[in-house]
Amino acid sequence: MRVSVKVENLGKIFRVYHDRRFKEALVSIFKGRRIYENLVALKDISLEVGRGECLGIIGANGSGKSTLLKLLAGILYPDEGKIAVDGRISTLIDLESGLHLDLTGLENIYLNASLFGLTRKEIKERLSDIIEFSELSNFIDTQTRYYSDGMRARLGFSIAIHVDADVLLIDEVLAVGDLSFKEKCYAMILEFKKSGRSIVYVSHDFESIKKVCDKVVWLDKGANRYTGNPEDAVHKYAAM
Amino acid sequence: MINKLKEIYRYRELILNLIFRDLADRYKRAAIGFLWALLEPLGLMVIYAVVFSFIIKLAIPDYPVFLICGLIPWIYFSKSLIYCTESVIKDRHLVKKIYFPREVLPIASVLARFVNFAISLTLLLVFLVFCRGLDPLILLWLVPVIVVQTVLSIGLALIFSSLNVYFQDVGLLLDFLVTIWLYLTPVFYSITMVPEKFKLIYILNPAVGIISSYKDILFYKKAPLTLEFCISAFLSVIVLIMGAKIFFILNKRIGELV
Repeated sequence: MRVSVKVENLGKIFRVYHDRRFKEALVSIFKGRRIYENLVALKDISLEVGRGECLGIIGANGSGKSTLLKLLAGILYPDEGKIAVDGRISTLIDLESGLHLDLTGLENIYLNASLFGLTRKEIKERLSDIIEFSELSNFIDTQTRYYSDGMRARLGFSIAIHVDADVLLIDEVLAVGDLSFKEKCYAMILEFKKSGRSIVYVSHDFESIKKVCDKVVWLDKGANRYTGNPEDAVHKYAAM
Repeated sequence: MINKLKEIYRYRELILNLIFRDLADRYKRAAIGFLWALLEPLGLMVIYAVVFSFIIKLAIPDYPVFLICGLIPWIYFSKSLIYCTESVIKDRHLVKKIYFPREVLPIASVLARFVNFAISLTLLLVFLVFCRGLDPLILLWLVPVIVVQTVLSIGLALIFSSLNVYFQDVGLLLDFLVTIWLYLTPVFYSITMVPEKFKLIYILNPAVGIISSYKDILFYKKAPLTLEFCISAFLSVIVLIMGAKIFFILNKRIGELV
């Protein structure tokens, strides 16, 4: 099996600054004092995601799930270890983040898809698929300001899944949609896997984890506590 | 470096969207919108012309025209510096949640100022060609000058926008730096007025060769084949390379600091 995401001995240390003002920084450096404290967010994480595989990540709040996802996405840089991703990445970390509320749904599709590095021509080719999947064709010329959370989530998900990424990173975003849309998303995720592409899926929702993941990593205080099949991992985590 | 350039090129649609959004956000809510971009150089021209023709009597013929030929490019430069500083911080909601080459933020910010500049420059050129008989052929010299200026602005924008994520003092520093920079650049005086003994240091300011070249072309109607311009071009490329390096280093923690 070909590997599309490979992480080796990954570590991330956040710097928590005492005071980010220039003057304070100068004074501290001058006095030989640290201007920040280190906060270990992830330590010694190694994992692999094969093509066509979905890796689930579970763990308590603050266990480093989102940090791991942001490192994979390239939003954060690792302090230790290596990350190798084969192909293009699409992220669904916060469905609202790419949406500009003053713009209409359609304008947002153009803006948001360009954030994933698509050219205008590529966006046009995917436009009808994106609109159809989002079920927003009647509201596509309405400003997203007037959308409900569920509608925004649908638009965001629909764009992210249609940008032809090789790896999709999803962070706890499917919780907002209604039941039928959720089902549609799961179906889309399964199809995404079938076409040989990979997914990393962070969620607290064990049912969905069991439904879509092939393998689960349980993170505990920044360390890899358990890696294995979804049933076992969820069981062990719940037994805690 | 080559890979980064390729990646930025791949995100060209995003750059266009960011430019459009920048201009729309800035002018949409204003009653006379885009006209502000034209009124500003004219207003400054009037006040400087009054000060330097009636109060401090500079012996430059056609002084208001002389002024505006330097003011319009200067406004492009100074606005680029002032607005670019916030460019990364302003889009923190994107920077934190989606991966894209963050260099596009300062680049788009400078290019949005370029759009403003292009509009006011076009109007100025129409005036110069019809009222002062400027030869349209000589205008070809504007191309290298504008390119050098944009290279310099993007280089500085990469430095200031990334540094500003770490220390927000950068924005405050720039307000004041830009004012000083204006006085050290031949906008309302001519480069020939600078005493010879200071000239060697004076032309190390990369804005000097750029602004004086605009004056050579637009006001004196001659090619800017000067030592100053060569120095500016050389320094601008250095600044761009340095800016890209600094941005690359500082970018590593931008995702967590913004």
